[in-house]
Amino acid sequence: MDEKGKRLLQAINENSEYAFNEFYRMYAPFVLKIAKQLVSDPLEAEDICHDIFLEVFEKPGEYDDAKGTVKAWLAVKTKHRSIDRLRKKKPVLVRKLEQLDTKEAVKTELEVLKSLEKNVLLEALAHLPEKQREVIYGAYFENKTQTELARTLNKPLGTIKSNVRYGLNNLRKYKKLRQWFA
Amino acid sequence: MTKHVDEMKIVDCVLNRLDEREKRQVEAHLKTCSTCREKWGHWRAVLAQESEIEPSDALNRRMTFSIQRKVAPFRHTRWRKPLFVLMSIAAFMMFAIGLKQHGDVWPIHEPDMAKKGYVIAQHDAVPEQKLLLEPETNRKPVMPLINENISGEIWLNTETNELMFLADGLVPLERNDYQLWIVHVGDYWNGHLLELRDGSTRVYYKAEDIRSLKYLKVSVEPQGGSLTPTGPEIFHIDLIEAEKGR
Repeated sequence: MDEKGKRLLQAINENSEYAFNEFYRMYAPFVLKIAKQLVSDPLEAEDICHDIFLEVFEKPGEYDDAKGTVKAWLAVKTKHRSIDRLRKKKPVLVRKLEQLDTKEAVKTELEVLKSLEKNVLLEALAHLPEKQREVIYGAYFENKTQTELARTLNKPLGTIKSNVRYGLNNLRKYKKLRQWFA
Repeated sequence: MTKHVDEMKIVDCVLNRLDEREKRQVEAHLKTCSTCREKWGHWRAVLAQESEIEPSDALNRRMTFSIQRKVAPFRHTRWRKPLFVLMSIAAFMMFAIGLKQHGDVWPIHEPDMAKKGYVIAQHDAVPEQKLLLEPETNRKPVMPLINENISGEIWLNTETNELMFLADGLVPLERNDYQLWIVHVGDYWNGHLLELRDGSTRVYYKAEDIRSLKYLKVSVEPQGGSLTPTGPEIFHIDLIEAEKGR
């Protein structure tokens, strides 16, 4: 499949629309799967998929087979574009965060969340209900809920909560949050 | 400090696309590098989902049109108001009279047009009409994209909102059909299978506003036609450019 993908990319480079159609047919479901997983929104995922393939059509020569397979190239491209979308569209990020309702769900998304600028993430978190914010925030810093943090740190839950709230509202100090708890 | 593994290699590792040597190298690195290990864990979670997602028809259409905007429109040939018209009028009149004599000329169904916004007819169903006789009708030869033995032309009348597409030399296909795509400025389209008669096709089209057409194209599609263009293109006729070039 990858050899075919490379040949199609070469043909796209020579302006073959037919090769592009074939390439799109082969890889669009894969790109969509990743985009949907990363942005948790089917319409945004389609938008990302569209942009990815348009970029492929315009710059097929960007693929470097020394770095990996065509699928890997598309996967990494999709990830970058999805993160960019989350960064630029706060409602999309908020909707994504809303769906992270368990610690496990947050853990699988940490790589994406960590790619976002902290202020972007914290601003989006501020739109969530407190309980959910707590789950994400705890998982983000130490994979712990605020209750677990309170127990671990032997601090009153109220202190932890107010510190978290303060952290959410004070973007410059987020990095020191763990130090405040300790 | 150990250099991180390129993320594409990590994805290939998760997809099991690395050869043994590379796989051993990446796995050895993952044991010592938490950053790459986190990335590996992330991709393993993202790619764990078995089922891929088929793009919607809306996305397919959008993709096709975005690409169409990027590809160079067809080669320019200027409209001719022609001596050729006079010669062709005679041919067309004979054609129309012949059809009438056989009693198989279909009238334009205006109610149908009101419903769909256009009328399309092929061969014997082409209505008796004055398209080719009208002084405002312009003819333009169109070049095939892939086979020089094919010839085509288009007749366009923006006053009466009619269009005729004619092509000869199309080779009958055993497992495929030729499909005509009529694409509008608003990026929506109508697709119609072309009926071949001795390698020729004759398509008549009338719409409420023919200027709303952006381009026509003919592509090779699976038997029975496609919802979106998928196969190689035979013709790509940019009507906007053509109008400008009059």
